[in-house]
Amino acid sequence: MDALPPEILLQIFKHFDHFTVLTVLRPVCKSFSYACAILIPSLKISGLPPALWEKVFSNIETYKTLYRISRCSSSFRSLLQSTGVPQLQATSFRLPLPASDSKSTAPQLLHSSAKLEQHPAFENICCRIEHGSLIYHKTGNNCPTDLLSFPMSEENATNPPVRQLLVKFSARYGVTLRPVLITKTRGAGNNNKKLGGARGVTVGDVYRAMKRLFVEPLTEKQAKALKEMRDWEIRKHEAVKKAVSKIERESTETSEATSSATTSTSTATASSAAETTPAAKEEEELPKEPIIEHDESEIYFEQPMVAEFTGHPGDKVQRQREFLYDFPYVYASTRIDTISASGVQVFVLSYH
Amino acid sequence: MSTIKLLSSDNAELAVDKEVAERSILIKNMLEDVGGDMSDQAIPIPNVNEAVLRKVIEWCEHHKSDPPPPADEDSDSRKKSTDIEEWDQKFMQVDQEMLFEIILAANYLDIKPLLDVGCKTVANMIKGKSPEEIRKTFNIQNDFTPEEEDQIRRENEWAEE
Repeated sequence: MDALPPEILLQIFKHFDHFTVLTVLRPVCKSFSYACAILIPSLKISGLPPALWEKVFSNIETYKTLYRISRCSSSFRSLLQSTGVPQLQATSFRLPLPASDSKSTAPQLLHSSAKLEQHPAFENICCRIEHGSLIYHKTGNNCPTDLLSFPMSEENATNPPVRQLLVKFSARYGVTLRPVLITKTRGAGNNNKKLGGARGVTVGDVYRAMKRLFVEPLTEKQAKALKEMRDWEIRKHEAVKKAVSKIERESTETSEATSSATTSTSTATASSAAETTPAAKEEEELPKEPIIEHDESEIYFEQPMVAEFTGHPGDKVQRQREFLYDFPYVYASTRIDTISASGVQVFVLSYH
Repeated sequence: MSTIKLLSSDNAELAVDKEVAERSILIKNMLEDVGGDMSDQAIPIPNVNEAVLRKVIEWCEHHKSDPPPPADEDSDSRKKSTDIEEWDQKFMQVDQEMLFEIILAANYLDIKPLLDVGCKTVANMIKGKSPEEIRKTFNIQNDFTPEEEDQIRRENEWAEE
């Protein structure tokens, strides 16, 4: 290709943004460099060379500002997507995993003392449990169905990136679902050249894990726990109903007794007996809450699911989200919580 | 204190204290290479014109007593672009062409602290602006097709919600 005359190269290079021309094509060979110099004589993008724009942008501290810059021109967009400047990569959640721990599966932070920051997407996008669909937090509008194919989903879920992340549903209401463990292994499947090397756990991984968490089939242990919980609730409901009807019956009897009574003293005694006896009986009759043995074994993100991912009419497979039948129309969003005993970073889902 | 001469791209000769000129790592290394004696000969600075060179010297004179910047600055915590000294802020209140010339000169002459101040100033000019305002500020041509713009907007709708 380098044997092509400069005018042909020039025509080809016109299809690239200036950043790509100056940083990728120009260093290829002399004839490319010559054609690039004809196309961009100043060798600059809007007044400064690409390396100095990178330096300017590395002073930008927010993801949102970088995103606005990337919308200005194709050169800036290209620059921000392919930059190798660590500060810029950090702000745009594109830092590669450190190379030093390539064989280790333990979670590693770039700087052990650094605070882990979560991707801003998690503040804006949450998951609707009953469908597993993604929606915008503030407006409640549905996200585009191809959201997880957008560049954002390839960005790191955290900064600095982590190799392992546990997506866990909050057990605040006594409900525990089997958490999903995301593990990124270094290899052919995880070496994104466009994003500059091996990625940590990405935004897309977390949302896919969230969806998976709700649709994963129940294990035997979970199915038993769910049945026990439901049986107990039915029994409790019946016991309460029984107690209420008993109170009503007794109060009717009491009022009849009152009307027939001749002295006020005997009425008071009968009434007080009617008030205390049902309450005591109710306590006696209410079934005791069963002790549920939850299955909290981890679901491995990389492994295929036992049942199909999406349900279909007449689907008899019991899903993990059935544990949440009391509040099916809620949304789950994430926040970084703690590091688990095994040293894995934990993303906790809370619902609202 | 010894004085040296600098020759700008437009052939203006400027006399400057050696200590001041040595804020530039390029000049410092050059002087070291020739044994420190350049009293009779002007050092050519072919990429910087007189006006810009005067501005750069003004900055170097003001900062001549500053401690040298840490060698491994890239590994430090995230830089804050708002912490520009008051004097530097005033110094950088020039038109955009001059600002870019100063940045280019600082880069060429290897004056890292001046380069940082220049880059921070430009970063501050970007902050809080919409893509259209950034284009207008820096005279950037919007080379996206309407379809590309739509796609980019769609891909980043979540950030605007």
